[in-house]
Amino acid sequence: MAIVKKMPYIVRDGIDLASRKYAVFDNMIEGVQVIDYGWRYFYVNKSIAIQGLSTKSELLGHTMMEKYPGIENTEMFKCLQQCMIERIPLEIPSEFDFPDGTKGWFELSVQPVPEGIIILSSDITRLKKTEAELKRKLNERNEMLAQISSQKRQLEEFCQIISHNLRAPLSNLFLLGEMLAENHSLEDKFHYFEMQKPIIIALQKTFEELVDATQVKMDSTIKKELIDLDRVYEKAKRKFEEEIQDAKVTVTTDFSAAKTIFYSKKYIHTILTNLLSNAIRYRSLERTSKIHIASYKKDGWVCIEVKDNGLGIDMKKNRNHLFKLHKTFHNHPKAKGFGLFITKIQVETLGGSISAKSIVDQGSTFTVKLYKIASNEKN
Amino acid sequence: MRKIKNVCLIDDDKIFQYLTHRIITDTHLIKDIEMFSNGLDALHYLESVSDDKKKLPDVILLDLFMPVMDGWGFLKEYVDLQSKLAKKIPIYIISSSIDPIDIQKSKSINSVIDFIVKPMTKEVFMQIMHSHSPNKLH
Repeated sequence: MAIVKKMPYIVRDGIDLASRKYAVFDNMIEGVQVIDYGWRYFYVNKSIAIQGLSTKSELLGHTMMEKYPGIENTEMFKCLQQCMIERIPLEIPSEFDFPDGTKGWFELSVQPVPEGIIILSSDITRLKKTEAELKRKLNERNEMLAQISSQKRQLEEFCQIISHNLRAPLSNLFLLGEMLAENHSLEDKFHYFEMQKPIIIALQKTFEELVDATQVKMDSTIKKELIDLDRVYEKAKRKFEEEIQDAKVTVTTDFSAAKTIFYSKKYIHTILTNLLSNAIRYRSLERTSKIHIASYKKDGWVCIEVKDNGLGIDMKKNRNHLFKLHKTFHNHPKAKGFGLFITKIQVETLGGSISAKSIVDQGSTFTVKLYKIASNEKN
Repeated sequence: MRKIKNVCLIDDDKIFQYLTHRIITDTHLIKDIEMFSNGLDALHYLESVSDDKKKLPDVILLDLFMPVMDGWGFLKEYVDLQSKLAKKIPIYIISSSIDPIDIQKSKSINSVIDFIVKPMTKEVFMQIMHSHSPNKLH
């Protein structure tokens, strides 16, 4: 009859409805697996085979421990056990190491079923990888942001210098001009006139310092080369030969741990010169002055250290000002507060950092982290 | 407030010291000018004459950027010292800074009367003198 032909409804004897009930999951994107009480794979869909880098027939009937040795020691397995025994649904994020050495991330939803447990798994490996990539990019951004803030701070300091260090001599010149215009004796006028000279010289010097400092900032393509530290040191020392002899300063060096560096010749020269000049200038007159300069590698950084037994700096008070422009810490006529400022700019421009440790009347140690070994040095 | 007879000038700029000294003496209104190159020296002086109303300055002209102890450092210490002094001393900041933060910060300090941006001309000094003349205040 026509009706019978149209709707062939076949009922077969012996069909295992119990095991066919999971067939609806066969083509799901999420992985579905049913594990029986003996930890054997009772049902797996196509996705599980793909996720597990295996095939349906390889899995069915075998235990999880057979297929993935060591799985019984994982955190994930403990959660599965918990669900199996306590019969409560669980959600677990899991990281999975495959036998072939690759790594995958899954989000598992585990529920008790009559046969044992059913595990729904979404492969979030790609999501995780994207997340890691995003994190890396975020870190990059943050680093950039920190750099920008530090540049902004430097700029603000610059405005302050321009405001202070140029305005101060300018206002003095202005006053002198007024005095010259007023009714004073010729002798006085000559005196005022003479006073202008050192102010103009100082003004010019400050101006040139500012030009120097801005040039460091703008010099983004600094030539780096292999540099022999002994030679740079000898060159830097020449400038102070007389002072060193007159003041009987003992300067020792040890560059054995990092003989050559890959750096800007100009910068390393000014860095060494400035640190050495400070160590000599702020020596203690109460003892024989000793200065030790060393290079070494530490925590992946190439470092230079200048250590003295001089006057020292009150770090509690001055920690925040140490490397700022025109901050001085000793009542010394030659103290100008330019050396450490420019040194810091140079060190930071090449990705390094400078720090100091000091105890008043015992000495100071300036440590310059020049650069990271892996990223800069060619072996 | 009393008439200003003694002035205390705290500034590390020697030329500024000289010129200001000259401007002040030219007014023929001031008896004594004490000059210091940093906050610490000035603080020590004030401590040494803390009981002497006559020797204590009637006004302090203070620079901000100085070595050893800057203007801020001085102001911080001065808060503690003030109660031990025989009289209250008005402070004027005389600075090259035009940073609004500096100006705001110093004006928030009680004993600071005003913030004067350099140069301090004779006219500016006369204004300070005038604002403290006895017939104007109180």
